Amino acid sequence: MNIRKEFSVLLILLSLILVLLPLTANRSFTAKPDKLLADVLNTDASFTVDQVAEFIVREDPTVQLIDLRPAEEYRSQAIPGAVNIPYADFIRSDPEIWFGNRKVSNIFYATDDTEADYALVYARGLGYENSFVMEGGINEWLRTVIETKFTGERITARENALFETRRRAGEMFAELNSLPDSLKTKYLESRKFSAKKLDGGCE
Amino acid sequence: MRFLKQYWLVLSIFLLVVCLVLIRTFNREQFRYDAVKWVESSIPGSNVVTEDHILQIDGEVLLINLGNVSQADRKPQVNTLTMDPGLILEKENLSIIRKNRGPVILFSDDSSVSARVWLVLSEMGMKNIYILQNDRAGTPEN
Repeated sequence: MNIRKEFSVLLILLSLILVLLPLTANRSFTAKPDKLLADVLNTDASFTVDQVAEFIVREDPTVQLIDLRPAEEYRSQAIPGAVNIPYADFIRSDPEIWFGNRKVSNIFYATDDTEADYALVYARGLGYENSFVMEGGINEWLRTVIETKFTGERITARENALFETRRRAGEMFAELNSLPDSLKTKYLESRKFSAKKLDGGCE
Repeated sequence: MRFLKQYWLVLSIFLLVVCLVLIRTFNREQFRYDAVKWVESSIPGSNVVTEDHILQIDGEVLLINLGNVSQADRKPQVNTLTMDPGLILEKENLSIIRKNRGPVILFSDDSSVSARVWLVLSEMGMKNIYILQNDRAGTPEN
């Protein structure tokens, strides 16, 4: 009887601590600050637009592009295979919804770098090591992949492969973004659905 | 007294848990609870300032150069320090940032570096940290 009483008092006191802790404490950074800083400053945390173009052309199922721009911008110009999670929604919602599948590499991009960089640190801080950024955002994508041109007289095999990847990715981008509004919306909605199912992958 | 004697075991476990919670909550070397709260200012972009804003800010402004930006491009009346972004969490650097009585503004020729360092410092509970908008952050030295 006495043990039961003591146990009850202990539980009541411990529950007091729980009451005083912040409600969203489950969304606190788990990494050590110095380790996280070293991780996010490492060049391995970023992919170039050319690497991303290759993932798209290969339809790599282990990669998920995450567009952090507002929904209107995503609807008007989207990279094939990307899902849209506006930055504010990304921060305020439970990240497990988006990152449940740890086998998929999540690559963030926004208009330029800043929001994708915040998202990278935020996701990695919460323990989602499978998070990366696309350097330069969609602005760099448009400059490098879409506006790619070959002007020289000779081309090496390596340059040719790079040019072909850019050209193919550019075609896929143009195909998607020239779809009639109704078809495009349907496609983008289907991307939303697959994100909820945590499938990932480029289409 | 009788209560203490009766529940000494319960109370000691409780005190131990309280101590651990307090250490975790107020440890300045660790990230603070509630990650959303510390990143919230980045949503409207209120953590980004321009050079014009710096001159209007009251208090001791400290600019931290995290990259390869020429000192000649900085406003002479603003206190500027150069720090290696990878070493910013060293005790001396953190102490300089914490002791500054005013806003601390990070800048770099690579906007990614200042954004990433900003979020790490903010999540450690530093409130008065800002980023200098990159198009005005100066020109690289080389």
